Order: sequence, then structure tokens, then C-alpha cells
Amino acid sequence: MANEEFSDKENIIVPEDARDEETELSEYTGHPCCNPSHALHRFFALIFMCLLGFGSYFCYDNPGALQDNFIEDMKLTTSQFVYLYSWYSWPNVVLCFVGGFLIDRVFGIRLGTVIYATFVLIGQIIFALGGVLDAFWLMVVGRFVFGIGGESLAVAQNSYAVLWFKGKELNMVFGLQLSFARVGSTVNFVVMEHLYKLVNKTYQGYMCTGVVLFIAATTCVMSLICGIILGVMDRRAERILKRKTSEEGEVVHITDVKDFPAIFWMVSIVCVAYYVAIFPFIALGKVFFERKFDFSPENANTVNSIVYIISAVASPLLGFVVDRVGKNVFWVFLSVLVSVGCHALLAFTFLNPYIAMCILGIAYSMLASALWPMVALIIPEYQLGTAYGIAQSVQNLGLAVISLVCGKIVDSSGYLLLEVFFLACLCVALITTVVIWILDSNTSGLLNMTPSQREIYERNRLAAEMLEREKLMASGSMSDITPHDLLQPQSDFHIRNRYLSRIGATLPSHYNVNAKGHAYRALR
Amino acid sequence: MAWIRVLIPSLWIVAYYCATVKGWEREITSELNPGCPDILCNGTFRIAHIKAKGPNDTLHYVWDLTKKPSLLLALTTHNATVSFDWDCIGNGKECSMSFSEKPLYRFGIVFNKMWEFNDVNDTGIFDQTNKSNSYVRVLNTEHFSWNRTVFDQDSRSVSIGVKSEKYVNGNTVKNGTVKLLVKGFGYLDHSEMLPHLLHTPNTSQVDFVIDGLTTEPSFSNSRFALELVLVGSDQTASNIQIVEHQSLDDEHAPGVFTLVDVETPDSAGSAKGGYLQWRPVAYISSVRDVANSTDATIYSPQNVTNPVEDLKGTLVLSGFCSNDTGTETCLNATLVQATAVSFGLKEDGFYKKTKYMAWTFTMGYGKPPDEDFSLLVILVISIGLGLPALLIIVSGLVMLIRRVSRKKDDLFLGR
Repeated sequence: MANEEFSDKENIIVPEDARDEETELSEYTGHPCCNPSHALHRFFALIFMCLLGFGSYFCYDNPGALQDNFIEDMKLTTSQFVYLYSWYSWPNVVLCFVGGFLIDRVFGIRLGTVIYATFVLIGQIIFALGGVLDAFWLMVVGRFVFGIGGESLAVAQNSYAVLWFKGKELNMVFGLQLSFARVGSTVNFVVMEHLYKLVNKTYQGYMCTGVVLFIAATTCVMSLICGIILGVMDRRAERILKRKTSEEGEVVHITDVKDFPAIFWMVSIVCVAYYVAIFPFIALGKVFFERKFDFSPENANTVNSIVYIISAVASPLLGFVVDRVGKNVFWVFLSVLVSVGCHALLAFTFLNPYIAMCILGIAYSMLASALWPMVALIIPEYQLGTAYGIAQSVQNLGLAVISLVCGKIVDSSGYLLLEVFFLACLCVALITTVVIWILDSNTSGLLNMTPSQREIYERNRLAAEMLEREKLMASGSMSDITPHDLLQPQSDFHIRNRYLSRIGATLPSHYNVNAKGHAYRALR
Repeated sequence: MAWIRVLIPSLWIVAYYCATVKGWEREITSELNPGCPDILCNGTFRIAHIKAKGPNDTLHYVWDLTKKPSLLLALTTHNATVSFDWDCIGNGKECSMSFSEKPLYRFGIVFNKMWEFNDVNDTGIFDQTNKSNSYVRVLNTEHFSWNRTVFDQDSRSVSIGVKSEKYVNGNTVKNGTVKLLVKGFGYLDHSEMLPHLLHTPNTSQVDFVIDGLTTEPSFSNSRFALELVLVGSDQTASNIQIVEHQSLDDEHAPGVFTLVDVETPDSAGSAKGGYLQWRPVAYISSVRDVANSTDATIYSPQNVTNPVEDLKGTLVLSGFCSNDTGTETCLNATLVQATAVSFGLKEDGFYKKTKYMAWTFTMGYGKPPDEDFSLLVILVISIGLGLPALLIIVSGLVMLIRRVSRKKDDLFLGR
């Protein structure tokens, strides 16, 4: 990719380090799977990226898979059992944001990933220790530590995906990561029961629970190892590709959050309003299918989990489609609209719910693979960890609150009203999507472009920046300020450049517009 | 999401006003043990007479606990009166109660018996053909000792509750409480208590609770069932029908999407007969919610082999046959059928799980009322779907206009 990009710019100005990159790249003649600019190498990294989250998704649902055993062995009440989940999710309303910010500002992605993976591992070990020692409070502490790592690790995973795949197969990678999360959780539900029975031959009671959890912790060790390997690979790729890291370019500040574009906040709203109609619905779905459609418990479970099963398969495929076609806003709009239809079918007809749930599964996968990459298109890379952290925090908050609300709605007013509530949420998502569409088409229209349009747009933008820089260098007179310039939006960066060149200061190398290009890397 | 929280209460207010404005009402008056001499009644509750006076006619409910609990509904003109003969009541004769003129329509239910059955295979279904002693025990409702616990009334409604704490029939003694709560309503609304059944001015509601009743020691998986004998003065010679219909709306009874109507031939045909209506749900805890619920299953109505025996001593019998010469001929000309309702569902842990079972039904005259979507649901849906549609249309138009005007600008600049 890099070769082509730079040859286009040769007729303008090619900065020193970019020339170096070109030479070094052309010199690198290793095997494709070791060549960081080759697709094969990227997919090699993708495997580690997916496995990175496997441990945390696997262990997250350990209590769910062993619910009865937990309650019996540790002598818990149901409300105590719920703590194991609430002490994971509530702190993450804030911690996701902090975690994302720390990746951008302090740790950097490589170190951050390793640190969060370590937190996950330590958390799981404390959790298991709580089992072995029959100390419930220790288990809760373990879940809390696990939570600190778990959600922030997901943010790191997103950031890695963007770093390696933006402008290439990003949508598909997001889809793939989603499906891996599902696989992790599903494998957990399948394996843990058997594992428990196996261990129960040697250990009994809380000891057994503890030992099983220790065994589950090995998946976290694997994830940690993946994190380290990924860090090494990323370091190497950075060296070879001369990719700039955030320490050299702009640095994120906590106050940058208030300057995030409106579209980003809209995406966060869609995120909450849409996911609310999926996760809490599935949590309450089993009884709904039993009651309304007279399904047996097993059948109700199957139809309830079909959304997850479909998303595991369909997410990467639909992500691939979005990669080819672009037009993310359109896909999001379509998914929300189809989901409205599905929930309407469930609410107002007695049509076999398999139909509605299958379509819902596809719509959900489509949304997940089209929505999340949009954040990467509107937020510069050096703020991306923070942005994903915020989006996930907002989502966690929304889900935690709405789950409670949903329970109350069912108890007081039944499932019809619950469905109506979900429809209302989806309508909020729909309206917000339309607003995003309007805002986007009023500005650059970047979100709804096809990949080739995006590429042209990026090139033009880079060229325009280059042109401005040239003008700045040219003279100190007023003649360089054309009416056209005054009409253009002025970024801090440009104003500062203009000022520095006026007073005759030499521009630092990282003020070079090309070098800043890493923040808005070309999309293709 | 904040707008929803603002919207919902305001919609409730609108819905409340709409609901209270419409409809006609009956004026309720009630009397306990009407005309009973102190020697006979002295503090014990035997009979309640509830009168619901409407614009065109009067509905009488006679709630009788002298023998088996029974409830008689009679539709008369305004002029008709009901008189009770306490000597006859004391002797359990048919002359116990009489109307001053023949009622337009009569419908009665008798809580004839309770069954305790041993559901060894955990099916949740009561097998009426199996009479084996190891499977089923019959509790004759006559042998409960009823005491009044509740009596509240105003001009729109009345509640009368009774409970029995002991069942004694020969050697069989059972401790534990069985409660019955009858409510007469003069207006259209949903009842306050789950499953929030819909009642009209023509309806009363019966709530039945078995709380902590000792079960047969030899039965491992006890469940209970109830036999109701239905008596109607229907003109049409046909059977009582059971209609189960699915409703989309579980707003009033969360998690229950079915409504059961038990219609007499006249109710089904011309909406001039009696009916029972309920949600097929029973609650297994005094805190009624979705999690604490199980099924109430109905079995098809059967003809009663010996109606005189089953109805003997109840005011339902006098209500139908007091003016006739022979009880047997009178009952032969009357619709008398029995239906059973069992409580429990596969894998719900049987009665022993909570030792509590509550079931509610309504009894009324006319056509069983249908549930409609509430105003709240309709409003949320129409706003929720209308608003995005409007927004899409408007924004589409705006974009179109912008595009057209932008083209004009370009032309202008090009000149």
C-alpha cells in the first residue's frame, strides 16, 4: 500500500522520513507472512487479535455456566450470585473510559494491552482463589479486578484492529472480533459443565469450583501471551513501516472529549439505543418465548440464542460486504429499520419467532460491523482509544440502567409493553441515524462514501493540506491569505503552523503535514 | 431515554381520563345475612346479597356459604325483590330463597369439590378418569368452616372475603387456610390485583387461595384441582363452551397471553347469558408476579350425573327451583354442567414448593369482554413510528431542496 501512496505524492513534497520509508520498504524482501505490509502478515496478527479477547470472554460467563454449582457450593443466594456480574459491569461504566484514555496517553497500545490482559489474568486468579478458600468477598474482588482489565482490553482490541486494518478490512475484522467474543462465551457454556463434572471426581464442594476456575484461568494466560506477541509484532511493523506512534504526534488531553464531533456522540447514542433492544431482550427472552409462543424450555433457549449463533457466523461476512461497499450509515440505518420490523413481528403477531429472531440476528451483525468502524472514521487515531472507551462506557451505563428498567416493565406491565419499549428505543436509534446521515452529508459525507470515494477524498484532503503548507512556506506576506482560505475551517494545527512560519521558526519534523497523515491514514 | 420517562406518566394521565369518562355504571348495595334472626346467625356469616342497580335492570348476586360456597347471579327488573326464608335455610330446603317475579336470567356456580391428586409423573395434568385412592382424594367443600374476614363496600363496589382454617370430614382433618374473596363491581375497569382481569358493570370477581393446606402424607407430588358446577337458565339447548383465545396484549397480566372464556349457550349466542372469564394463570406466592406463577388448566365441561346431590342445600338450587314443584324435574330442564380447573405446570415444583396457590376469575352476564390495546401502547407506537417517518420525509425534502439550490449557486458562480 505504502508504495502506491507515496508515488502519488512525489510531484508535491516528499519529506525526508517518507523517502526513507520508501527505500526501506522496497528493500524488505522477506517472506510475505513476515512482511508487515503484506496481507498475509496482517491476518497472522488478526489471529492473535481475536485470541486476545478470548480469555476474558470465556471467563466472563464462568459464573453463568456454573450457576447452580456456584450457588450450591458457595451457599449463595440468587442476589449474591448477581453481584458476580454487577461488580463486573457497574465499575466499567467509568473504567472503560479511563482505560481507553490511558492507552492513548500513558501506556500506548502495546503496553496497555499487556497490562489489561494481566489485570484479567490476576482478576481470574483472585476469583479462583476465592473459590478455593471459600471466601465470597474475595471472589467479588476478583470479578472487580477482572472487570478493570476485561472491558479495557476490549477497547485495546478495537484500537489494534483500527491500527492494522483501517482502510483495508476493518469492518470485517470488527465482525470477526464480535464473532470470536460469541465463540468464547459459547465454548465456555459447553465446556465448563463437563469440566466441573470431571474435576468433581477429585475435588468436592467449593474446592471443586476453585479448581475449575483455575483451569479456566489458562485461557487468560493464553490471551496474555497473545497480547505480548501482538506487541512484538506491532513494534516490528512500526519499525519497518516507519509508522508514527502517538508519542511523537499529537497527544490526547482529557479536555479533547468536549471537542469530539457531534457525530461521535450520535454514534454512542445509536450504540446504546440499539443494543438495549438486543441484550436485555435476550436476557428476558426465554420466558417470553415460553409464555407467548408456548415453547418448551429447550426450544425457547434455542430460539433465544439464535441471534448470537447467527452473529458469530454472519458478522465477518457482513463486515466483508461493508468493506467492499462502504456506505456505513446506510447499513446502520437499514439494520435499525429491519430490527424495528423484527421487534414489531414479535410484539404484534404470533408468527413463529424463529423467523423474526433469525432476521434480527443478521441485522444485529450488520449493525455491529458497520457501526463501530465509523468511530475510526471520525476520530483521529491519537484519540481513538479514548473514543472507543467512551463509547463502551456509555454503552455499559445504558445497558446496566435499562436492564433494571426492563425487569420492572415486565413485572408491572408485561412483555407487550416491554416490546413497545424496545420499539421506542429502536426508533430513537433510527432518528439518531437519520441525524447522523444529515450531519454527515452536510459536512464531508465521508461516512456514507464508497471505499474508492473515501480514497479520493483522503487524497484530495492530503493534497489540500500540502498546498496550504506550501503557501505558508512561500512568503510572510498577506497575499497567501486568499478569500478561499478564510472560508475554509481553520484547525488549531494550521493556525499554529501559520503562526510559526510567520515568525520564521523552523517547523519541527512532526509538524510536517505528511507526518500528521498517520492520524488520518488513507482509507482504502 | 429521558423523554420516555416524561412521556409515560403523561400518557398514563391521558389514558386515565379517557378510561374514566366512558361507560355506564351500576350502583352497588349489599347486605349480610339479610333478615337473619340472631339465634341462627349470631356473628357468623352465612349469606350476602349484593344488588347492582343499572339504568335498565338490576343484577342480584347471592353469595352463599351455608353449605358449599356458591354464587348466584340473577338479572331482574327494578321492581323484583329477593326474600330469604331462614327456616328453610337452616334445614337446607329449596324454599330458602325466592324472587318476587321470575328473573330474566339466572346463572349460578357452586364450588362443588376440591381434588388433591398425586402427580407422580409431573405432567401438570389432572386425570379425571383415574379414581384410584393412591392418585386422588376428594375434599368436599361443605366440610370447610368458613368465617368472614373482609367486608368493604361503597356505591361502586363491594368486597366480601371468607376463610376456612380447618377441614374436618370424618377422620380426615386438614389444617391450613382456604380463602375466597368475592368482589362485585359497578363499573368498567381492570381489577387492582394481578392478573388484573377486566370487569364490566355486569361482572363480579372471585379470588380463590389455598394457603398452607396440609397435603396427604402418602402423596409425594400433590397438586390441587377444583370442580365448579355451572347452572344456567339458558333457553338454547346446548353445552357450555370453552373458548381460549390468544391475545397479543399481556399488559395487564404480565407473561400471560391467553384469555379463557367459559360461555353458556345464551352468552355465546346472543350475549344474554352468563360467563366466566380468566387468565390461565395461578400464583404460587402472595407476592403475585411473573416469576411466582404457574398454570391454571381447564378441562372440558361434562354433564353432572346427579345434579340434585351436588346442588343440595345451596342457594343456587333455591334460586332455580324454589318456585317449581319438583326439584328433579326442575333440574332436568336446566343446564347443569361441571368443569374442572387444575393448578400447576410441569416442573414447577408441585404445591409443596411454596404451599400457596391463588387463582382468580370473573363471573358475569352478557358477552365476555375483550381486551384492547391500551391507549399507552397505541400512543407510544404511533409516536415512536410516526416521528422517524416524519423526520425521514422532512429531511429527504430538505436534502432535495438543498441539492437543487446548490446547483443554482454553481451556475451563478460559473457565470
